[in-house]
Amino acid sequence: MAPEAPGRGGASTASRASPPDPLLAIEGLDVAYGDVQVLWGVTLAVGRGEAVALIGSNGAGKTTLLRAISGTVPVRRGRIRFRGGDVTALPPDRRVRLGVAHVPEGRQLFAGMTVRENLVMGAYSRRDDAAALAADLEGTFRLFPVLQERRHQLAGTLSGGEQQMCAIGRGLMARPALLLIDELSLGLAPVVLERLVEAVRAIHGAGTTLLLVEQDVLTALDIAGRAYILANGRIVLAGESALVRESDLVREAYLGI
Amino acid sequence: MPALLEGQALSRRFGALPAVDGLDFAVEPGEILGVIGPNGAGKTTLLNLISGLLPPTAGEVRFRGEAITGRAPHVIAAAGIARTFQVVKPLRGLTVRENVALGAMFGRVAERRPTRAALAKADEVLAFVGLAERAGAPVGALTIADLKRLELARALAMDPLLLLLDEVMAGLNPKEVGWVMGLIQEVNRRGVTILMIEHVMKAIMGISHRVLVLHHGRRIALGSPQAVSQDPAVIEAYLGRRYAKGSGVGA
Repeated sequence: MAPEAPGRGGASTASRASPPDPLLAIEGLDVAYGDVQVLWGVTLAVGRGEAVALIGSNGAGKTTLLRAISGTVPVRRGRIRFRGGDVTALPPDRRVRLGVAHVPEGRQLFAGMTVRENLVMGAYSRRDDAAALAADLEGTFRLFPVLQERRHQLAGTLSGGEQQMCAIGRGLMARPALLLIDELSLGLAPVVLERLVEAVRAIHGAGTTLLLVEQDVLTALDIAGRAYILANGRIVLAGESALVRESDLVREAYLGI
Repeated sequence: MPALLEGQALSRRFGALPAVDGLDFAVEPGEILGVIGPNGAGKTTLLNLISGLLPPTAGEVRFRGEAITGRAPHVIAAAGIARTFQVVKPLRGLTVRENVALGAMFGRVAERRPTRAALAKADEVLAFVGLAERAGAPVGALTIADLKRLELARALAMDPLLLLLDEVMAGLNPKEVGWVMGLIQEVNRRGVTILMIEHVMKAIMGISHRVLVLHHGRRIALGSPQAVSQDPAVIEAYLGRRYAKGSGVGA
């Protein structure tokens, strides 16, 4: 049930910028929707405590990659290891229990439930006691005070920024080792986004490993220490954020030239 | 030389959403015009307006100087505009060869053929796209790459003057993409004007003579692939506002 102890030598196929003892290690991943293959031989690794960005234009396969990690799309070929154990064939709920939480694109809150109920749903798979849950709820409210103010409000009535906070809070309530965030910036005003970027930094600072999908390149590079660029379902560039920021390959990956 | 195809203030709304919003454009005879833009930019809607699948809510489309706005798809096909579809839908009960022959029977009116000649045309086109050995196969037996070739073959069999391509490279591996790029260039070299939508940026930037960039249904740039890839408005649309500001290419 429990994953094996963190293995050694898991980084043999990863790129040179990748960590020696990855929390998440993906090797040669192919994912297809029917006849249409979306990911082609994707290999990447995320080390414990890292914040890693996954950037690339629409249709590059970023969301699909996050879905493969959380187990919400099947994998055609390749392997996903989490905390040293092979999770490729595990259903999503088992992965949540192992410590993978997914904040999906478009938030996907339970619109007819209150903010508090949404947050508690994030802890659905946890087996610990009510006191631990209450403490984590407190922690989430400290991070996003507005959620406490609105805890009895229906999630569907929140503003876009508040919904994103609620979605991130719900993810945190699973006590993840790895938090996957899909399109933090989607539809948010710059000032609201700034507030969320701060919160995500704080989550990372408190020890949660992050894998962040983002279309807005600089927002992603602001948060992450390393980045992978996807183009047409393949990793075309990986490296430290500072180097990626300066690279012409970013524009090339998006614009082809 | 007058434009082969022209759009004037072309608009299409879906409810409150303007998918194509007062667009002016021209396709010059003999060129490959690439149309790019983030998801939801209005690219496929534009193709649907040109090929008659959708009537515009305002504006005009002219082909060879003549208004074709709102005409039925088969009338537009008879005038010499053929298209492919992003989601291919060959006739499942027919063979590969028969599917392509239908194109030769219902394409540009001046080039329409009776059955036997249409089948001969199908064989010629299938050889051209590299599908000759699959001619007798039921279409259900084709791979996605071969289905894309079939889609292209059906349109080519119509002997179009203008060929509209909607993401013919989606789902192909890099080798297949390279091969299709060569094929499109060869079609163009033989005199067919091409307007193409493509998400595989290396491909569309690699073979287009000019690139039209759409965002929220409007034109944000038009020019050589090199020029549009350096355009701050294009960089902002694809990479984000702050990236465009910091990239030192304007703004």
